[in-house]
Amino acid sequence: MNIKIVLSILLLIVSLKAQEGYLNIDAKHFEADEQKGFMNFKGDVKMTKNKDILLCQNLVILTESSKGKKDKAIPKSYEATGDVSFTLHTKDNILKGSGDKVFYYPNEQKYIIIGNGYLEDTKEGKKLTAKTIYIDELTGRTNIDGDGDKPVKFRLKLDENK
Amino acid sequence: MGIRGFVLVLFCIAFVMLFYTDDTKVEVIEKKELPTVVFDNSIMYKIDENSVLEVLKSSKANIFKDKEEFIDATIVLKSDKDLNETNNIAANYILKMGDMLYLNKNVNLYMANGLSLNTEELTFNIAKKIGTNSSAFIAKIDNNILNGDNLYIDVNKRHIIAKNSKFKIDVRDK
Repeated sequence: MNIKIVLSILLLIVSLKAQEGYLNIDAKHFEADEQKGFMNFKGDVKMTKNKDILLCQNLVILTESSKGKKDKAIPKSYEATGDVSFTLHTKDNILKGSGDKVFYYPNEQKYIIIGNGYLEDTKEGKKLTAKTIYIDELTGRTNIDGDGDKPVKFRLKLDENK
Repeated sequence: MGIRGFVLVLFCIAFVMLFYTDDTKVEVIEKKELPTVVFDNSIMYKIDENSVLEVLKSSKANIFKDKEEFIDATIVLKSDKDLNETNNIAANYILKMGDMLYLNKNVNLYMANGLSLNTEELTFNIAKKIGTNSSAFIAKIDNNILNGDNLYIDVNKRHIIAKNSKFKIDVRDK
């Protein structure tokens, strides 16, 4: 009986580990052209990787040849448009964001939110809105661009116990 | 009197027959085309001066004037690019008309360039290597897995269009 439980747990861990390397994308319409190096997902797009999730109406993924295997195409950049929202789990934080357009460059691990940019740091309770928001996952830095009509807004949750 | 009665009966029958309609359906028997040649458990080869181009194995093959029908069939085609590699097509039923294949039930495609497909029905052009279907399918593209329906696939260009897609992309090996 105990062996069965241990085996089940091991199987669960193995299957969870196996899921880690996969990006799941659901959409109403899909098109991919490997020669042109793109994938296009349209209509109620839901992209998930582990706990990270991105929702939008249109997602374009540009691909390039893998360094390891030349005949294998891997994502180079992601461009999400239309009601874009996402939840991103970093090493020690959870970021929630939305915008008109969101770009992601996996090699540099950089995100750019363009138009009605919103980003929420759930751990520290920081919320910011701006025209353009740049997020660097590697350094943990966030750069913000406002515009003349809509200045940058920054909200910080204060700890009342302090 | 007897003749008059007889004529009256005849007149009555003629009058009734005038309004009587026959509802019985006339069965139209379609002339079913019969195969010119039938093979059981056969292996057919298509060859040129240099090599074997195509191998077709089936439990039953019906060869008609302008089409061929195969049951539990597997087609092995020589790859255009690599002489040592093959493209394999299998289905419970295959109708071949020129370059067009109409595949039904347990349709499996294994292409030399890393594409494989599993579905219940597919129309496939052997010459152009373009397939279309309207039912659910599972495709494997290298290590990526695509589920969906209403598939269009160009094997040579690796151009794919599908509806209601669920795509699982392997991003492990960079």
